[in-house]
Amino acid sequence: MTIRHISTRFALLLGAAAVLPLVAYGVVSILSLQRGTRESVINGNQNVAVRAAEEIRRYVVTNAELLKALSADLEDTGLDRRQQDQILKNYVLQFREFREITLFDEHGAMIASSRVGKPRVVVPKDAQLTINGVLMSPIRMDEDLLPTSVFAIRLTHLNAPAGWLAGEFSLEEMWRMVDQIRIGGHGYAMVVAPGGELIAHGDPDKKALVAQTRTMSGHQLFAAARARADAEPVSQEYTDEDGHNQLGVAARIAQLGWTVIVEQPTREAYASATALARQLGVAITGALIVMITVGYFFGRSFIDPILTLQRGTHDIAAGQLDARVSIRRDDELGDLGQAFNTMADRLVKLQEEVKRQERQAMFGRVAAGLVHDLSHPIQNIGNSTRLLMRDDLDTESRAQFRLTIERELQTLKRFMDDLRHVVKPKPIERFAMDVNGAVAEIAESMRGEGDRNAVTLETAFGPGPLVIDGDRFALGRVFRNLIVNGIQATEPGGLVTITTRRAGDQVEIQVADTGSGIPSERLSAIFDDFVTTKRRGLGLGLAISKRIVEQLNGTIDVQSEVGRGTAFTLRFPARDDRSAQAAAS
Amino acid sequence: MTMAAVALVTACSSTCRQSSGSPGTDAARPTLRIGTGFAEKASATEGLRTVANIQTIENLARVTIDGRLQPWLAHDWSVPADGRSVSVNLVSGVKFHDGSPLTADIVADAVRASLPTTMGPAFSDVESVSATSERQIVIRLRRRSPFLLEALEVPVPKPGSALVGTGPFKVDNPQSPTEMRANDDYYLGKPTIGRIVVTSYPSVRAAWAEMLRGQLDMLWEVGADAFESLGASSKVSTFTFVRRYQYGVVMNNQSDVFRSKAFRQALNYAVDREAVVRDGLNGHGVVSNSPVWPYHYAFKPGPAHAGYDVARAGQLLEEGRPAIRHFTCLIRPDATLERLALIVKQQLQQVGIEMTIEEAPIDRQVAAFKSGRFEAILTTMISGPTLLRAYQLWHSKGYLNYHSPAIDASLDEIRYAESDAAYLAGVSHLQQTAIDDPPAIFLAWDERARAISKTFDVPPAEPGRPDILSTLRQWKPASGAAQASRN
Repeated sequence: MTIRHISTRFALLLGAAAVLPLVAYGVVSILSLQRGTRESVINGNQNVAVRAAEEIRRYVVTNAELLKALSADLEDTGLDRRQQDQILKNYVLQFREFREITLFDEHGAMIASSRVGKPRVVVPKDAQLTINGVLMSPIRMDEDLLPTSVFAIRLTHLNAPAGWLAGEFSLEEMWRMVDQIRIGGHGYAMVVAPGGELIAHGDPDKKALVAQTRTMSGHQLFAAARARADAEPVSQEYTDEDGHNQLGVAARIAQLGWTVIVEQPTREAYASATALARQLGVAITGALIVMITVGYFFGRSFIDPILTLQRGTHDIAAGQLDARVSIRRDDELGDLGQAFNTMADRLVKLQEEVKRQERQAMFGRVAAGLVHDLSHPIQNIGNSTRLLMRDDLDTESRAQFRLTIERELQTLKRFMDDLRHVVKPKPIERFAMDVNGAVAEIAESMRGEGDRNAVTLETAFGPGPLVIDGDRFALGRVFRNLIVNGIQATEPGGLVTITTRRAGDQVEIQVADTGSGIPSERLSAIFDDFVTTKRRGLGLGLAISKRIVEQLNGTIDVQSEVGRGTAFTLRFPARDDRSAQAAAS
Repeated sequence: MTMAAVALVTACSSTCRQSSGSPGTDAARPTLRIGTGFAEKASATEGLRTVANIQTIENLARVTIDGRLQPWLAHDWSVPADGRSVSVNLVSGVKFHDGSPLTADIVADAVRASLPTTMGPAFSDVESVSATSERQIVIRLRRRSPFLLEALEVPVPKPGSALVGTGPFKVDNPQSPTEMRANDDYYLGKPTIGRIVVTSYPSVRAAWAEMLRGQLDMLWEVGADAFESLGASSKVSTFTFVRRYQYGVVMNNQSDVFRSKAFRQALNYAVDREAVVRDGLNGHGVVSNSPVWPYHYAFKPGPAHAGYDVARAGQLLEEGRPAIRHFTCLIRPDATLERLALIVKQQLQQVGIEMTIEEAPIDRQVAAFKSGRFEAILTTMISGPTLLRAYQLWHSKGYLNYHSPAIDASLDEIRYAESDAAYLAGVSHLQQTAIDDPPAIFLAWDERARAISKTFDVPPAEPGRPDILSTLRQWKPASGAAQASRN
């Protein structure tokens, strides 16, 4: 594809040199920023999950230790049943995590309990988890649909088993801690038991899932965390059951077998990255806009002078030589503008010089033409006058010469009228006339001219009369002009033939010579004013002839071949009515 | 009189009647699904009936939060200068669910049937109840009785028809009042909600889980133990209100241990009620030290207020040198009551008083009140918002069978008050007597919440009626930002 416009080229240059690199930089920066921020967010959330896991572990272990400390208070201290009962009741008031603490003997009978009524707690002898010597039962849902577990400690007396201390450990209290684990506005933590049971959920709207004993076994993040041999946190992005994209991180509490999952909507998790990317995008877009704007105006300041010069050149080429350019700059373009204007000034001067020379040439041509056109009648008048002054002239000849003088004077007068006609055209006078007669008369008058130039003048008249509406003098001038032109264009020994004929409803007159012919490139201009192929003459002959013919509703055509000759053909509407015939005769 | 009777009268507030509502409910109108949480079947049944009662049966008047009467089915009432009668004019155009009109005769019958229960011993002040015109009843009194006006909170059911009233909703099957339909002919306008379905769950938690799962639109009542679980939910709004129920340890002044009023005073000073509310009710309660409703217009928070003063308690015990420093307190099986009892027990231990806590079912407690054979009972008592409630409980002829000349005197002072000033003075004396010769360790007024799904647009509660249920007939499905909000 060819790029024709300099502005397009300049735009491409700007794009290739500045815009594309900036865009590429922006894309790379945004991608790097997103990747970096994403890693940072994931690491942050993983840290939160790990810390939460440690907090929860510590919370559970601390409570197990509390019960263990209580067992130490009850063991081998010689407290009576009432005192033990009082201690247990005070304990559940002090530590709300324990909803009930009951002391059993070795046979499972209650010794003392924090409960006013019948104890609900039983010793979890099937417990598989031990925390520092404290048995912990699997998580179960109590009658209030709250997850609970039972801690139990074996008591000894003199190194012999002496019963159990069992405490119902409410995990609802742990919820408060989980509730406080918040990331952003919508990032929550949840705690999952080894079997996948949801123990706690920080999202207030999803706490009901705990009551519904929702299993998280199918949760892919939980499965991934469980699948890891080590306790390192794992992270995943996934779509939750509500159709929201989530960033989840999971950290295991190895001691308890629990898993802490921290879930945050990706939209929120990566909000800062998105915002930063957006800001960077805006900054880059701004830079692009500034760059394009600067480039545009700079380009315009660079291209505008060129376009101005282009317009100036076009104007000059179109002939508006007064066109100038205004490029007010101190650089090369300013110099170029000045040079253009200087060139235009020079061109005007040259044109004026050419015009002056043309005027001089035309004046010469006009003068020569005047000489050409006037010399023949004046010469005839002079000859006839000299002959008239001879005494031996017979009466008939004298009358002939006088007639010639009068005719030539008349010719001169009409010639002068023609000149005036060029400046101020006179209306043609139309009369019915016989073309044969007029042509014969002119041909006869020109025959001497032919003889002087050794050119034979032949006539061939069509059967006549050939009557048209014409101006005898004007057409005589046309015929004469054409015959003279033919004689002058024909080498001695050549032939000028004048023929008339009827062609349909037209009368056709042809003046043909065997002269040098007219080059084809000049044919179209030969009927213009002051255009001539001759070395002499005003160049008005053919122009006036064409104007006269057209004023008489006729046409004039020319066929010419260089070296073979030229033929002018005139056509006029024929008049066949009898009155015209009579008038012409 | 029994505690069961107390609960039944005050919670149910209505006798049971037959229903004959018209069938069919506009399917396009929303259904409100209410969940209640009652562990015991009896409580669940009673709870369902209470829910149905509130929406189907309307009262002659209602008591606002400050203890004043507000007309309801009564358009207005007037009392002559001698105070010996009350003329009640009824709202016109009110119809029962079966289409029959509410007449003065029906209202007079309802008042006659209800007043003996609602006024208790004060009913002896009533001479007659009669309908004097189609829209007016006149209650004639043997003597001036401020309690009569307070007793105008009389439910007016259709005679002979359980759960047929004039309320905005009607029950199809009175035997199983779990479904109610809108009463489209309701005189205050057709309810927006077309149907109410009440489901009972074994616990509030279970109902709450159902609610968060979108299966319920409202939890009837949320206690202190479940407040926090609901608090931050974006799907649920909670509307708290202070119930008329008061926690207190009734001290039997006929028992040896509580015969001394100084001992009872000492125990009152020994209890930190703020700690009781904080630790026992998770902060959701209003401390109390008398049977007077703390928002009652006659309540005086200042002079009569007895604060937590262990030193004063110790001083009283030192001066009184009580021979018995331990007692047994009965509580019914309830986690909140047990926790409150443990807290009180712990606090009393600080002054050397040993409280033995013993579980006793409600019928055993009722029997204990009746026989006077008990030392103390920690229970909930409906003691507000009118002074009539306190009178019914604490007068020697009242439900609790409590005998205290000082309490009787102050309650009678209120009962026979000839003027507002005398009434205010009587209330003040009652508050002071509750400190000087305390019948109980008044602990706190219970605070509850109604949890409502934000899918419903809930207008604010009516002035003077903090319970959001007061606008239930105007609830509608939420649209856009117009949603229920926390109060």
